[in-house]
Amino acid sequence: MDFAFFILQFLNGLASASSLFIAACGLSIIFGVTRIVNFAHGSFYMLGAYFAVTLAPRLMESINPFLGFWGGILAAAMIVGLLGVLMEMLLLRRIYHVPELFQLLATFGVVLIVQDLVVLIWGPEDILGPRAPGLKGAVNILDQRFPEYELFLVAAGPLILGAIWLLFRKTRFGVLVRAATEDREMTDALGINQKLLFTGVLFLGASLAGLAGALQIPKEPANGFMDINMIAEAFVVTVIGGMGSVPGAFLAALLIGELQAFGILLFAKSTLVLAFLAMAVVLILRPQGLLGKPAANTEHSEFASSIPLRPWPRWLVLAWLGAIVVFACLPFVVDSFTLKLAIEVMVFALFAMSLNLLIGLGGVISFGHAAWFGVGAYAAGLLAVHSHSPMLLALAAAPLAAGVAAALVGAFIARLSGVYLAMLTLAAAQLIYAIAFQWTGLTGGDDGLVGAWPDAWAKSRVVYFYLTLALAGGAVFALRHIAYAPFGYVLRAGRDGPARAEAIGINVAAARWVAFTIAGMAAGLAGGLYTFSKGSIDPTVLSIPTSVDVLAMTLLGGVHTVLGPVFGAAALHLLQDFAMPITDHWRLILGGGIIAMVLAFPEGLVGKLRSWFMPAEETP
Amino acid sequence: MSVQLSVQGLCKRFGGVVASDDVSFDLKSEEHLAVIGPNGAGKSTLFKMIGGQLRPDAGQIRFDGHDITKAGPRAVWRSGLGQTFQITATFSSFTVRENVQIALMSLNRQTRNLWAAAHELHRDEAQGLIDAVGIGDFAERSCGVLAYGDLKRVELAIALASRPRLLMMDEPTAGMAPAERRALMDLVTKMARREGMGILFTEHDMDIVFGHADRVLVLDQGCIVAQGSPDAVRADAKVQEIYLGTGGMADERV
Repeated sequence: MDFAFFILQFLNGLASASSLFIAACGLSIIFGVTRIVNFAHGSFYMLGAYFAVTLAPRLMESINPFLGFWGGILAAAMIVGLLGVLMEMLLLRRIYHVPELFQLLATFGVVLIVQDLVVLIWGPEDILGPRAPGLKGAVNILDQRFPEYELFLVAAGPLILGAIWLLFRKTRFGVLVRAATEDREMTDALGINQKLLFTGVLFLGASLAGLAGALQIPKEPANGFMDINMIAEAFVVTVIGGMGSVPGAFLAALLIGELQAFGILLFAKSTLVLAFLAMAVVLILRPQGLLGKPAANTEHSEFASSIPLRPWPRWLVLAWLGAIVVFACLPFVVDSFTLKLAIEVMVFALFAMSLNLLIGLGGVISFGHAAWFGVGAYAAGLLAVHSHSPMLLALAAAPLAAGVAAALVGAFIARLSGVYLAMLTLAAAQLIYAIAFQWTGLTGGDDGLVGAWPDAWAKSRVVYFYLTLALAGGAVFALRHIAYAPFGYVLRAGRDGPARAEAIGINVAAARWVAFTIAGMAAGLAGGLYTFSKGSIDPTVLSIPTSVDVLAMTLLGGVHTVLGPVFGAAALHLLQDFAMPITDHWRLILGGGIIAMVLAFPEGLVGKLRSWFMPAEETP
Repeated sequence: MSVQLSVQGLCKRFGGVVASDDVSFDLKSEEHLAVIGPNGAGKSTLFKMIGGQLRPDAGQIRFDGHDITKAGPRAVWRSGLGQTFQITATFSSFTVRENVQIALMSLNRQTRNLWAAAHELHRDEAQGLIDAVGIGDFAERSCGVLAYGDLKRVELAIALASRPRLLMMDEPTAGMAPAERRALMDLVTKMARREGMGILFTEHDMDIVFGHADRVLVLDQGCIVAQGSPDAVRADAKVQEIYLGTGGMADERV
């Protein structure tokens, strides 16, 4: 690598670091003040690009190219800022008090809605933007040509950082933002108008995201994948920098930008892997991120509950037995298609139950639970396709492989908590996703593995139905049993009062690690069953949307209910299955459904039912 | 009587604040020792260092002859030192009885048991403990809906479950009505005398301190400024100065 090339690559890194920083710092500011992990930040970014490619050419024509272009960029940022305000007033304002995961899920609902709206408004095709007037050329740097626009971007990041610094130091709004980031309760107690502050912060954060997206248009066409692509990187930057820290986000963006600029030379396709690896390393060494403040050691998880786990009354036991008998009779009454649906519902029920062991009992937010499902699915698929092992052997390998993987990852992250732990689980899932995606020789890459069918004896869908009922059903009730066993109590104790738990000899981190392993095994079994039900497997089983699906199922069912996730899985899977064929806008429906669910019953379907049938206890 | 807890030269600073400055004292077995001092004197820091939640910068803590300076909360608890916190910590999704049952499960090393029905484990023993602290009737209630004073009693029952030889309580009666405070402390001291258990506690209510402690230790700005019998401490000019200077001996929290 000669020197000129090195310098150029370095400048490229700086340019992408600038873009990353502008995109990510809004996310960090919003989190710092509102404590909401805003998934929709990627959508703001994408909308910024779409508004810019719409406005800039028209303004360039009607005013003049220079003013038109930059006016268009700024206008796009402002419009997106106003959309941020709209989201704060209509949605976020109603959910500040609910647990982080619900907020995250609600903002993911916004992501889904925006995805469909963008297609409705702008169509499915990519839209090319104009190039920046005055910055169309390239300059010579050490005899290499470097685009002027990239050079402009290199400067833009530090300029924005400086502007934010001035805003935070010199204005009352900025001082309030810093104060609220430091101690939200205190600013509240001092009588600061929180609503106004939060609305302002959403405007600032969203318009920064919109600006970042708009600034991309000379480089890449506005397209429907900008949101998810950006949000993953923005999360990484925010987490590495320390959630809520703007200078931290700048440092982290530099790190990631350069890492990718040079990493692309080593592993052309896996720059995101590098980013997530960097995040994992930073978080393990410094859990609060580079410039973040150590999280205040909260005395209890936000999932702490005041609802005891009561032994089931006799009528409930009988009702379950009846339901299982009726379910087991399905093959006699329904067609093959419905039976396939029933098999999938059982698979997802187990998947969601395994996640609820972590969230509901342990208060541990896992955001990458698809990883263990996917490892199980691939373990079974690889054995079946490559070594033609018997199905039962492959099905046994699925939970083992997933359990080992979950135990390994869990060993690193079980001692963390809250958002940071959630982000590390996401990082782990993305790493495994990238492996499955890029190790084409083994996993078939994007195409996945084909031909993992059940053995001859289980070829019939009816037999596979009963096999799934036995294995998934058995595992679901094993997980239920664990909730009522001492280990389940230990997990809940660590959730409700970690300090108290430690003071009676309970090793909370170790218990969480064991829970991680068990949950991984159960999810792995679900994945293995899924593989043979489909006959094929591809990397989407490991992707972020799969993790979000299972989260939605778990939360929809109700985290403080023992078997709620089973219903959540059934409800959501059936909804998806019915909605997808009849409409092109299933994401709109799903997103709206998720938001409605978070707003209407944050305690979940089954939690809601329980509060109807078993009214809350009164204070003695 | 032999020395049960021995604290030698304990130091802890947080940035520029010296929370504990060369603190040394002994607690004899079965002794009831109160630590008093104005807010910010370093009482809670001292307790957290003994309890294993904080690591001292310097100094040594010995309990029953064992060095527990670097022990974490779990090891401290297993060595026979129970504690209750300044901010009451119970398991809100457990019933009152289950709160004690989980402590007994931990004591019997059953925390990895995936099979037994936890609801039934050590049920009678737990019931006995909550009966003893006067909340036996609430056994099936969720701790999340209990009144504060009752939660204090639950926490006490949790701490007593391991049959500690020394019970450490950080402001055990904070937030309770005066009559209730006295009742609780009477109960604790009576149980302690019967079981031969030592008590180390902080308290702002001076009636409680002088009525229930064998000996009193006064902290101010991280230093021990006086120690001795309740009467001697009450008469100590320096102690009076500290307290009058911060707003009087009377209960400042009400």
